[in-house]
Amino acid sequence: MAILRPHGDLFLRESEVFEERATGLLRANFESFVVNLSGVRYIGSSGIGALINLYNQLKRMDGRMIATNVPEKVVSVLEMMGLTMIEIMDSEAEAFSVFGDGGGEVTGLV
Amino acid sequence: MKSDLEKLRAIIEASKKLTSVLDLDELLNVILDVALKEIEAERGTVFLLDKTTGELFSRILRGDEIDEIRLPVGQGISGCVADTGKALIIHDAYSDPRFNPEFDRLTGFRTRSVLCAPLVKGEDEILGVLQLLNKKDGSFDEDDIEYLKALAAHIVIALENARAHLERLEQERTHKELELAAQIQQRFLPQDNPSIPGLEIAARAVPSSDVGGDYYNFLELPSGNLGIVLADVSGHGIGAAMITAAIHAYLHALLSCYESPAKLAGQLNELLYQSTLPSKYATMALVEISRSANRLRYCNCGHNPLILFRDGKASTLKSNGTIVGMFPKAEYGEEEIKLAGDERLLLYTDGVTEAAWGEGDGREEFGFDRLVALSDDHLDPAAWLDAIEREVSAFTHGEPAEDDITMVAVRFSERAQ
Repeated sequence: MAILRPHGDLFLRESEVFEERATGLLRANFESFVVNLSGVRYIGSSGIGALINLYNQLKRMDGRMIATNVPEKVVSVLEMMGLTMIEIMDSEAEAFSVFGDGGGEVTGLV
Repeated sequence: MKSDLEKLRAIIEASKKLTSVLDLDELLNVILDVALKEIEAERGTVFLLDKTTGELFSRILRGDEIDEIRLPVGQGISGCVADTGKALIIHDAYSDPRFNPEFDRLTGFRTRSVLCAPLVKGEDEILGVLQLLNKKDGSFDEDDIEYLKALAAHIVIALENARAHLERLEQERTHKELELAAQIQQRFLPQDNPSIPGLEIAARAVPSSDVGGDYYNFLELPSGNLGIVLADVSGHGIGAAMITAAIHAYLHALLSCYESPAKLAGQLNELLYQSTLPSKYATMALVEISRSANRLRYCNCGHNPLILFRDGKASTLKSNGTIVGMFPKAEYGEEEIKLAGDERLLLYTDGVTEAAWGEGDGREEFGFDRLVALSDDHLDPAAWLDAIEREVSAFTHGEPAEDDITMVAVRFSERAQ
């Protein structure tokens, strides 16, 4: 299981960093992703693109992505954009229990 | 041995040469030419410091070519000089453990002696290293080091000028790219608003400083009804502008088989998905207005809610499908609204509602409520959009918009006969 914890604003440059990290983890054959969004203040269109791109890639390989600690503002953006397929949970712990993993391999993204 | 006056003259001449070159590669050649001539060495290399990797790199070597040499700071003779910031003379290279004979082997050159000096900016900022090999007549000495130090001061200035020049060129290139993106975008926007009895229409597209990917257009549907499309492509710059061009082309190609906003959204989604990068998409609103039947149909694909004003009240037309271009297949719904004939409709991109002022916790967005409050039954659509644009600009204290601002306003009036 891989964990991504982006921080700050998820705009153009930060989204590229997010995509690079996610791609690296996908190449390393991770199929279960927890994306903790608690540190995200604003999410731009490219941030959404990076997030959904990860979701799509995982879906193609029968993997799974769970977003946790999603700020209300981000939830409303996802809703407005009709992105209701994104699984959202309250905490990382909740996601860990779904993946049947007590913590597994962790990678941070600051 | 040169006299002090001769040395001073040579330095002045060298300085003139160095400061007349702005191209970095050419400058590296000139630096070497000047140093070889003045110190009377056989060959040499200028190494520059790559601060991001902590490596020295060289793009030139006199005589036999080696494309690029990279070595870590601290390693080898040049690396050692870059590390300590102190010049070095080595009289017998092959007896020095720091000397790497590999380059000799590659080039067939035989290094005897080495003079290596740092290129230092200000007190202690190392920009690179100048390495000279084999003094032509005799051996390198302290005079050579002193002379090289004097020369290095001019080299450093020339290097800084060349770097600043390179940055300027890059800025110009970026600027030109953004201009091109803006031109591409503008080309696909309608020149005029449609003239349809019973409808007053106005539109506004204010490009941002950092060109985004907003798009709007009016479509003449096969039934004679009016179609309005407003889209906001993710990301910025020329990439986003190209996607707006694709949306424009696909929409017009799909018009001949148009059935409904939802169907059109589904078709456009598939085409865009196939032709764009995996993380690119657009939010989009499609509206079909039938003035004769007095109804409006819309499909909102993950876009900001459209606002319909009726009897002084605002209602939102929220998304009934997801963004376009992101998923291979997607379901889009649509809604039909019967018109009384005196409504007003506003389509806008998030450049309006997310126009912001302030930083960090003090950051505030223009927001939906301010936008709704600006509605005024008495204003015609053009004046309405003027008022919104003015208020958004006042809210951001006249700062150039961070995102494109695009709006379409429609006022329904006397029914067409």
